[in-house]
This record gives sequence, C-alpha cells and structure tokens, in this order.
Amino acid sequence: MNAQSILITGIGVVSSIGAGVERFGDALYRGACGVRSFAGPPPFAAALVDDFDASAFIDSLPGCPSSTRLRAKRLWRQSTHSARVTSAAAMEAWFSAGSQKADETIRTGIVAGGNNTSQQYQADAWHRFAETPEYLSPRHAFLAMDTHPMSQISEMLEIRGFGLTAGAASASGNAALWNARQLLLSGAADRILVCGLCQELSPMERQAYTIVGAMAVSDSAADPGALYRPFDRASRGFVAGEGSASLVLETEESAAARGAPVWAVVPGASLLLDGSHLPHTSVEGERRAMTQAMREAGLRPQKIDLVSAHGSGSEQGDRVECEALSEVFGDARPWVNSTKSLTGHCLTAAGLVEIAACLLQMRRGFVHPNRNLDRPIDPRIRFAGPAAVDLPVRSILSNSFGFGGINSSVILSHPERLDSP
Amino acid sequence: MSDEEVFKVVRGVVLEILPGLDPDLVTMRSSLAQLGANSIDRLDVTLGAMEALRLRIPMTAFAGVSNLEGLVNVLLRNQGASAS
Repeated sequence: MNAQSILITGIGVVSSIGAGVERFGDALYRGACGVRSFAGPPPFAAALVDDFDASAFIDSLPGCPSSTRLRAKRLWRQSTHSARVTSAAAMEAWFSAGSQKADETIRTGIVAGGNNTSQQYQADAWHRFAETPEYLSPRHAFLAMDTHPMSQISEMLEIRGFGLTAGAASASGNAALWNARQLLLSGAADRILVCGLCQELSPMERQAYTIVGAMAVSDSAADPGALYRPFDRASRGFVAGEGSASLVLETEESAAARGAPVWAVVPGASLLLDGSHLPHTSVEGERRAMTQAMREAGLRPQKIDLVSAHGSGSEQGDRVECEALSEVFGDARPWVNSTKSLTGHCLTAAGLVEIAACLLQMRRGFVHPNRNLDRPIDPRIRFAGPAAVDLPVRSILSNSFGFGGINSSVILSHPERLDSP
Repeated sequence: MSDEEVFKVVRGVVLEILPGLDPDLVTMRSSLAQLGANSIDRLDVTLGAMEALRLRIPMTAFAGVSNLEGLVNVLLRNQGASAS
C-alpha cells in the first residue's frame, strides 16, 4: 500500500458556526463567528455548542436507520456533553460515507483524538460528590473516562474492530488522523472512523489557560466577536471553542469496493515532539513537522495552495508559526488562514474540525476569511482577508500544535486536481 | 409519605432511567430486570429515588430487594434518614 492510497470518504461536523457539513461550509465562506459572552461566574467568552440538539441532528441524517437513532437517543440520556457532540458528528461522517454495518469483510476501527475532554462534567460531579457522596452514580466509573465517547460510538454504529483514544493535547485531532493513517498503511484495518473528541473546559482550566498567557481575557463590555484575532498585532490569546468533527478514512480498495464518495487523498502526515513539556512552540519543531509531511506526500512547497494554520492567537505561538511558514515556504507564499478565528479554539477536536474545513474549501473551491486580522504581525505571509477568495484548491497543509512540544502537519490533496500544473 | 406517593416518585425515576418504556408496565410487582434495566440502571434507580426523596440510606439496606414493592418498602422504612 502506498502513501497516495489513503482516502477520506466521509465527514461530520458539529461546531459553534454550524452543525452538519453543508451548514459548516456555508458559515466558513461567510466568515461566521461562534464567539459569545457567558455570565459564568466568572464571566467568559467562548464559542460553545451548548444549544446543540443532538436528537434533532440525527433525525435529519440521510441513511441513518431508525434502530440506530433509537439506540443513540437512549445512550445520550445518560451521557456527557462531550460524548453527545462527538458521537453526533461521528454519525454524520459514518452515514455520509455510505457506511452501513461493520461486517467481517470490511475491518473497521475507531481512533478518537483527545485527552482530559470532559472537565466541566468532572467539576460538576465533584461538587455534587462533596455535598452528597451517597448519590454518586455508578455510571461515573465510565462517564469520566476519555474512552467513553469512543465506546458509545462503537455501540451506536456496531463497530467491532479496534478502538482507542489518541491524546496529544491541542494536536489530538491531527494525531488521531496520523495514527489512523499509519494503521491503515500497516494493514491493521480497511476503514477507520477518526473522531475529534469535543473538549469542554471548567472555570479552573479557563483560569489556568489565562494565567499561563495562552487564553484571551474577555472584557464583558467589549464585542465578543472581536476578541479572537489570530495573527493580529492586537491578539491577546485564544478563545475556547467547542465542537467535534469526524472523518471516515479508508484504503483505496475498501472505498472502491463500496463505491464510496472520495473527498480527498491524505498523501502525508507527521507527528513530532520538541523534547519539552512546556506550552511554548518552536520554529524548528514546526518546520520539521511541515517538511516531513510534504516530503512524505512528495509535494514541493509550490504545490501547496493553502495552509490551514494552527493560528491559536497566542502572541508567542503566532510569531513562531509565521517564522516556520516563512522558512518552509519562502517565495511560494500559499494562502494562510486560521479556522479558529471563526470556530474558537476547539482544543482536542481542533485538528479535525480544521481538516473538515479544509475539505469543504477544497470541494467548493475557496479560501475562507480570517476574522479580525486588521494588522497582520508578519508581512511575509499571504493571509486571507475579511472575505472569502474563490480558488480551485489542489493541496492543503493543515497544522496543529499542542502543549508539551507536540507538532503535527497533515497534507490533503484533491482527488482529481492532484496532477494539474 | 404513603407507599403510593413513594411509588409515584420511584416510577418517575424508572421512566427517566429507561426512556421509551411503556409507563403502564411499571407496577409495584415489576422487577427492574424484567423491565430491561441492567445492573447500572438498577443502581441508578435506587440512587435516583433516594435523591428525589432527599434520603440517605446505606446501600446494604437494599440487599434482597427483588421488585419495586421491595424498593418502596425500604425507602418507606428509612424516611427518617433525611439529607441535611
């Protein structure tokens, strides 16, 4: 099996700017903003999916049998927010890929990206336990685990191949895809449902992210839509988002056998460490991640039309990423945008939400706008402006970096435009 | 509280833990296992009923309970064990 034979055949998305792949695509083109103010206490700004109705969402999914809907709704009654959002996106991906049932001839697995994903659930459970330990539900023994959404998805969709979670902080989405791709190349499976675990933060994480200098402080009087500004001189850090995206990744043979629709080829991906436990990013680490993924894909920098930047809005992180992009791409100057400026930073799901955004830009032929990028920090970078640019995108490089020196890049290529000049 | 009032609370908790269940099937003689509850659902019904009635009863008091009538009886016998 060669690197060009790993395909994406299904996508599902739940985000603050739209639930469902097509609505998400429309919102990307418009440059919609998911950030709102919340009362707390303490008050904060975030792009949450607190109003997402998972039951209504799966009722509208074509190809989803009523027995699967019933099973999902019953499981969701005693579940977590993170699991509901993640499994709803997984179901959209699964049924859009024409997937029905994982029988013995098609060996299917699940790789779910994320760690420490249900912090608000944990905080609520702890408060309740401190008051009335007698009422602790036995379900806490498994609801508290990051593996819970993955197991719930396997029950809903009757997937019985391998399953695991891949934790790599904010690079978890890319790490899950990297992992799944390696597993397909090794022959361990024919098809893998790759899920970005929806991460919900509690007030404690928000405070820690703020004092470590990563999260933007919200001023309740200010417009929440102007708070998140990656790569802008006035950027003061990230604004948390919630959401999830899933992909069906499969081998060429498996996709052809089912006549599955092909969104893109994944010809290269990297996952590399800096050798540091700290939140800081490094030019060298990011450069290595990007060049290794492009080398694996056999693509020169001139062949990349768009970079979906990590673009978290952290002052140090944005400067480092611009430096690494300049070193890697030089005069090639691909378009650069940050999906986080629209969706908020979806943390462990960010990598896959952003890859879903890449796939929509590739299929529809556009580069989505950057929000609030009024004064870019680096003139060498060709940033997307406030409006979408129509462009037949052939290949995209998508970056995701995580606390603890975790660097990952994924290359996505259009299934037909790959060889055009 | 009368046994009927306690049963009404228990019945509400059962229907919450087992969504989609026909409410007419939930009687004093029903066993939770027969209604389709697994071991975790059964514990959740007991804990949910205690919480709804604001009672704190050691789980050992529920040993040997085989149907909803038995559960109601334990809850009735321990009505003094209120949560603060």
